[in-house]
Amino acid sequence: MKRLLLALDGALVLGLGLYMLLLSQTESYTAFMNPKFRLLTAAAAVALCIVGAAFLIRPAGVGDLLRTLSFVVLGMLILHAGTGELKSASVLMLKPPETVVTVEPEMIREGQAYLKVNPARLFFLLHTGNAPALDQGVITRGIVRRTPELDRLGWFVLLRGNMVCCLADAVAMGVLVAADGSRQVQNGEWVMAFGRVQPLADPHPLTDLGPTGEVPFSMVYDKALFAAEAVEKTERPRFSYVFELPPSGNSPHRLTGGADDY
Amino acid sequence: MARIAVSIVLEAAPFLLLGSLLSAAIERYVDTERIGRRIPKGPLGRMAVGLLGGMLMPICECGSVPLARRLLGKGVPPLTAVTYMLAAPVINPVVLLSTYVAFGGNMKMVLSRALVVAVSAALTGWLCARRISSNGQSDSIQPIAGADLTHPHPHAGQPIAAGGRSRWAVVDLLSSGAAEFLDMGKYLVLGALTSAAIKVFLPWQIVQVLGGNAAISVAVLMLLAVLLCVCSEADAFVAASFVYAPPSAQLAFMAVGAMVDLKLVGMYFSAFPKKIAWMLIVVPVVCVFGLSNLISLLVG
Repeated sequence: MKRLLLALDGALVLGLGLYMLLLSQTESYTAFMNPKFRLLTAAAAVALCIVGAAFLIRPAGVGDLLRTLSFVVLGMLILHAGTGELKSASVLMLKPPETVVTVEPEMIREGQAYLKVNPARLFFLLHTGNAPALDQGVITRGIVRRTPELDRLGWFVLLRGNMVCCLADAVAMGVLVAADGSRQVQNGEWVMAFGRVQPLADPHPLTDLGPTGEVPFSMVYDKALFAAEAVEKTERPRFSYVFELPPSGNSPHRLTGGADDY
Repeated sequence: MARIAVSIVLEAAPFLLLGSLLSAAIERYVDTERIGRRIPKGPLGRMAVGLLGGMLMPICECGSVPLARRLLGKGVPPLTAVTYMLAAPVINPVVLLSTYVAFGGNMKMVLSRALVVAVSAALTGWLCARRISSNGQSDSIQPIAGADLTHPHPHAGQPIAAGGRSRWAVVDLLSSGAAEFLDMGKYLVLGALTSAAIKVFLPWQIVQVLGGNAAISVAVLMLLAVLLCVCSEADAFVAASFVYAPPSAQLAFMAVGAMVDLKLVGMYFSAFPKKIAWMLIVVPVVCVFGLSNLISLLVG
């Protein structure tokens, strides 16, 4: 029995390594981790495969049912977690998505240029006083959150899950949006909003927004309003999370996710 | 929930494996007597060695526990090993640089983080060492049964600890690393699962208090740090994301998360006697809360 447990332990470590190696080479990785850690995960995966194989050949220590069971549970969690929110056809794409970085910074709509900024980056830009100019058109895309209080004002919140390290630390970040058809968009819908940022005379703090998708809490910039000229419903983007880091000295804001990064 | 739990394991596994392999290497190749001779006898010297070790040997919190456990088993004084274990994930150049970058070159935040963690780690180490020496508990801090590094199968009966230079030496070293990884990994899995469950079911309205009272904000972000299990290599960016929180709360988040979180709690109880494990949880929490608020009052 103990030898069986040890053999199972070795197989589980090896299996974890193989899973991490496969995941690190697919688009699905971005549903679990910030892609900047892709290389680290791949390196650890190879190391796990090696130590798992070594453990299978000459197991050290004695078996422990609890530890075997906990790794079996991890295997079940991995199976249950699946491939994240990504479409199955792209799961085995072996070219990491963040290598595609040639992105047009602006979108032209009805002859006007709109700067592509995702809601999380817009939050950080506003917070650090680097907001787009008042006459600068901006396009942003995210998940709609409505509350009765915002409905009364003709506003809603536009949020995007921002993953700094892994899904566990993701926070939905975004801005208040004022739009004529604010009641026509529903909670949880993905929309694109075209408009301009305006400062608010009085901050408008929000409470009790609740979870947004897999992200349990949100942060909304409450001292500005995104005055939308148009709001269009859209499909969920290929990468539903963004990977914005807080502004850091002179470093530019990160641009990841290729064409989906707004 | 499953995806959150898996993401925590994916994040922590590389560092846990690194710590496990270092631990196995120490077991095989480090001479116990030599270590004992080189570490100073006085408490200040022992603390300093622990802190210096933390600066020179960067390792994440998941990896530092198996490593510290092995160091204790090899005769390193508890004061040095515990101070190292708690301080190493933060006071190393990699993490301090990431803090500097995340806070836009704010040296005050970098130094405050290093100071709070170093003081908390040293104080916890000192209290743990006193407890261990007064109760004669040092013998109980040994590698646990699952990692006694002996091969149970008939063709390799000798302990790895004997440090043999056989043709199997490398395989045995890697296998020992795997055994350590499995032993600590079970607590990582259980901690990740608990953290994911709490993340899904906790009423997150508590985060709304962040803009209010500074001391309450400190307590709330400390609680978040314990629950979220964010790696110390990346937690500065997470802390900086909490833009509505006062700097003292961001500081407390970064300081306590590297010393106490859900996955570490299980590891502490597995690697140390129960009373020591409790000290490893309570003392850093109290220290970080007090020091973060104190620094906030003094420096602003």
